[in-house]
Amino acid sequence: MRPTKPYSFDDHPEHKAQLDAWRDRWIANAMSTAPADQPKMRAAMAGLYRAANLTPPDHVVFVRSPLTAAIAGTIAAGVWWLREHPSEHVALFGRRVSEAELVAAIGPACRRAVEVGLATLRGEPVPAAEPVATRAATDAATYAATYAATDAATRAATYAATYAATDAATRAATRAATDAATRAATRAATDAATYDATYAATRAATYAATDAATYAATDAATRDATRDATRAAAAPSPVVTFFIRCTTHWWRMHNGGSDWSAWPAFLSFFRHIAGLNLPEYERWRHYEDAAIHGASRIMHTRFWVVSDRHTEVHVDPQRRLHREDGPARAWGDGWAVWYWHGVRVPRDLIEGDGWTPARILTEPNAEIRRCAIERMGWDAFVPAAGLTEVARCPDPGNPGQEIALYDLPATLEDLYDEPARILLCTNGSVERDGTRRRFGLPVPAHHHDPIAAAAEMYDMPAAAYAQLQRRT
Amino acid sequence: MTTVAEAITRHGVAVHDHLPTDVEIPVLTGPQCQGDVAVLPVTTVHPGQPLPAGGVPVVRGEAGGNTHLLLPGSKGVTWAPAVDGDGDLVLGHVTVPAGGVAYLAHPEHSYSGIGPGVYRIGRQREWAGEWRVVAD
Repeated sequence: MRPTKPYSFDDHPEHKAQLDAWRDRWIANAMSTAPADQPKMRAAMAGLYRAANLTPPDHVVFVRSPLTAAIAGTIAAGVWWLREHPSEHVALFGRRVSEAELVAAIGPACRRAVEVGLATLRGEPVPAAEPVATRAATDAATYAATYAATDAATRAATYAATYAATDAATRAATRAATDAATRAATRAATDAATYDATYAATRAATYAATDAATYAATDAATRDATRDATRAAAAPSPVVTFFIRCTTHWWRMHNGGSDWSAWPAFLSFFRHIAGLNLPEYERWRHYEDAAIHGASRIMHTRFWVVSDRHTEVHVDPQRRLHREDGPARAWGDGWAVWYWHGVRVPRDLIEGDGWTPARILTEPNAEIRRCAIERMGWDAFVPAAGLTEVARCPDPGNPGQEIALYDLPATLEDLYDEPARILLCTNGSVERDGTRRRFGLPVPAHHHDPIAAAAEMYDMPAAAYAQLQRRT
Repeated sequence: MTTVAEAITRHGVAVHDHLPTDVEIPVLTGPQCQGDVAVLPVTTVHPGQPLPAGGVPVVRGEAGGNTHLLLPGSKGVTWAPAVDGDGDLVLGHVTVPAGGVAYLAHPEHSYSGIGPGVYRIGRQREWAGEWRVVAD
């Protein structure tokens, strides 16, 4: 029975008291490094298909990472689509393509997508393709003729075909039957306050580190692979190119599983704690199970691919991905991403000694340049890069120490949205080894006086800061 | 006068063991800073509630450590948490009566003594093209 009055925490303080624990349980689910529970995941996936009145597919695949799931799932979707739509082959490739050719193209497509994807996420140059070997599988003359003759029209047709090949229908159907229906029913049966407390809190704690990061990594990897495959110089066979182009549509077949813990946190609270007993739960329970027992999944009428969770994940106090000596997030099959306080950066910025000042100054992306400087420390970067001193004075309340203001060179003027200078300070308390930590802070460029710049950080009059009696 | 060792015994907040504990805690009535927390004397009155003996964590570190704890070192110390209009950086106002003292304690910064008067307790912000509050 659906309640006539919306469920409210005002009527159930005993439920509200369990919110924090429930939220934390789902945050832990998102951040967990446990692999997929394969028996439970098989049952959940079968349940999701049946909930949408679809036949669970015969081909089921477990992989170690969402990137592998995305690439394998989309290329497989491309294979199945070409098999089921032989009449489209002539428009796409200029001729019918045999099953043997389809199968032969899978390996090169996967290899190139992975090769380019890995290089992209590491921030390394994309290795040269091996066009001769892969093109040998098809008629190079036919390929060249097709390519030259059709130009933009063919590209549009190819885009439409790869888009169609990665048909989102399965995901849409299962989601509509399970998650969307339960969301609607839960929102109808509960008041708005309950939504913020679970969904928003879980999402805030996990979104950047899990969902957004997976999305960004997969998107970057598949986009670059596709760009690479469609460059004339690197283009392998048209069938290989077709498959690689399918990879950019990965998100249409994708569900985040444990990465998407926020909605299940909200919906399951009412199932398990508030006891709403909605009829939608009979189908939704499979969605909930799939969010608990595995990470990303790719769903298709012919097959599904389910990924394990990350094998490690590291965040800063603001719960942004961050690690100073290795990948912030890594998966069991070698895919990994490097982050500095929520910014995805090249591997060599993090690992080893980081970047030299010269390397930092040639980085075109201002945000990555800023991360590289922070990794090095402004106190080291300022002298190494030869920044010009504007002013220097004794640090009030910090005997024997000074604060100093530096200009950013023209090459670093784009580091912040507004013009900045750097204030170098020294800690008032000593470290365990007897040294004092030095650090640099950006300040608005209108400052000429280090005291006034430091005072503004505490929203304090400069005259008061100058009278600081003690800094520890 | 109170030493760091005596304050640790009395209030239970230990400091990192490389910091000296046999020194007196300076009790000041002027502006002072403890890491990202600033103590600024003000001329306005801010009536508050008695500061609990266990103190008030004015800035709480993420992992439980690194908390700046405001403690009453004598009777009559009051604390008025920030109200709307105080500004984003203001954590509250502490009032120390004549002859009284309050302490700000932090494991990495040791103890700071606050003498009689009314003080704004505020935190630091950082600028990165725009101002934002520092995450400890």
